Amino acid sequence: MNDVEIKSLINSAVDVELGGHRTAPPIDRAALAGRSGPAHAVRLWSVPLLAASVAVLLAVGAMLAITLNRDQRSNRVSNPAGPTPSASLSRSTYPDLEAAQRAYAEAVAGAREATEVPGVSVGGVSARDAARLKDTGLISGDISSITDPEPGKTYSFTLSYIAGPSDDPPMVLTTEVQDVASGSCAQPFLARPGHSYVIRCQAMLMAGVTGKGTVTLRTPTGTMGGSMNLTDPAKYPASPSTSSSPGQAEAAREYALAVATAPEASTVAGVVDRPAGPDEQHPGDTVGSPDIPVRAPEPGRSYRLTLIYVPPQDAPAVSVLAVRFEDVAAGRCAGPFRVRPAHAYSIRCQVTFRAGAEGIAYYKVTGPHGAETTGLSLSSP
Amino acid sequence: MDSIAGRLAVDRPGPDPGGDRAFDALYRTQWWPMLRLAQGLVDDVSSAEDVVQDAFAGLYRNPGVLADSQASARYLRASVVNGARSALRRRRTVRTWLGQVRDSEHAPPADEPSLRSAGQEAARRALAALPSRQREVLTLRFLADLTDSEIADATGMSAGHVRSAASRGLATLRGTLAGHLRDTEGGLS
Repeated sequence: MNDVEIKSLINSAVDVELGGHRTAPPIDRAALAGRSGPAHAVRLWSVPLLAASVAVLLAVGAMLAITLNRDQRSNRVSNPAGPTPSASLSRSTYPDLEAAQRAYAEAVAGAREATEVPGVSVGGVSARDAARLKDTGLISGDISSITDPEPGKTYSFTLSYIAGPSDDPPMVLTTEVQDVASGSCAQPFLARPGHSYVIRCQAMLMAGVTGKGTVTLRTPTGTMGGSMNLTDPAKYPASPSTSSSPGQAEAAREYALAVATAPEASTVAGVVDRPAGPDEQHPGDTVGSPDIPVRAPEPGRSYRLTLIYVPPQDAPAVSVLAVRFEDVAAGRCAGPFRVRPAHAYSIRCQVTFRAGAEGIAYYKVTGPHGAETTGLSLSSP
Repeated sequence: MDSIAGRLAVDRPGPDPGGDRAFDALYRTQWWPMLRLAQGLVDDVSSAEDVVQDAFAGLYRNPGVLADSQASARYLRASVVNGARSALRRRRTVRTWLGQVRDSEHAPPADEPSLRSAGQEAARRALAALPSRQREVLTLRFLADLTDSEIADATGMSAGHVRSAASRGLATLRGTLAGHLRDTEGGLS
């Protein structure tokens, strides 16, 4: 076989693999500007931010020691004889190692290098910290910006993690805000031994509720992490005039969690985020697909579908969309992700039909006042 | 509420209207070649699309590069190569620490193998099995039709290193595919 034949084979194989992806998705400049891009995009502010955070870190003193067991290297689920974690440390291990490893694999596959994630600054570890921490880590936070908390106002703060030098595998570090009206932190990233990380977060506080910033580290044997209060409960009492009903508070909590954990659509593989056309925007949701209904689907065969979602004109500034299938043998879609009014989203899905079943795609949209679900039939006989 | 990423991006100066036109033109002409290149490097459509989007996002925020079409193409190629390396590094991390974790949810579509011929399948496998630098060099040569010096520019390797990697990679590919051909013919006879 000569070089020309090899070249031809590889070219034709790649064309087959790409199949129907020949058309470039429409340009969405807002999405392009918000996308992380190359690694150097966030380095400009990293040095002063890191220096400021380390200085304030000592003053705030909200530190939680994290002990990373050496059992990560030996892949044991737990080490009862190991060092005792601090009171604030939470640790969970999976009942079986295989499940923990699978969760770790999925997390690593979905995480970026820290230098590629907007809102994360990466630094080294000083000789003093290296000697002090060895194979442990340290979580801390800078909440000094939240001096006089007001409900409904958005505050920025940072969480930090210093990983001591060890030969442990990289962990997947996830930060989020809890018990707040809304908020978010940087996306999950790979935290490597011998590095320090400063993660930017923001949160809108709820009256009478002590919000939390949490750091979770996923390892091949389970998870560990800690949390810190964003406000002092004694200085931030509930206000009767602004308190919400239990149902509203629950919806707000669910919404806050959904927004904090869902990435922007433009960063999700398999999702195209574009401006909605004038004829696409209506008072209600627009759901549909150019690919469906699938006529007389063959049971057991895998079909690729592209589903469309256009939020209503009066939708909240940010909601979270998740698509799931029912009445099918198997199916999955890209997401969940954040959605905004005046945008249209194309979501790549894959579904295997079941004999005698039409299959339904459910669009679940989580907003500040609760979640709404819309069903869409996938096939016709 | 704006996301952190959005707020950071808004703080950065965007391209001028002339830059926008240049970007549009480049996007129309280069999206497909870059997607093919990325697919050749990462062998996964979703990852390839992600890598290409990142490359264009980076270019969009670099109006200085955008002013020169040749520099833009070089920037895109280098970004795609770097993005692909990053994606493959994440995959390797999983495999290094966990071995091959099989997950049926991430299985390729059921009809995908039938779409590729046995020869195409063998060529892709043989290419994927090459050491990373050899694979990059041959992918850039086959899928992007680049010269050795252009490949050196995109990968950060020296021209001499590119030539030797291409030579070794091609020798391995020829040997692997010749063996595959013999096996196939033997199976048919």
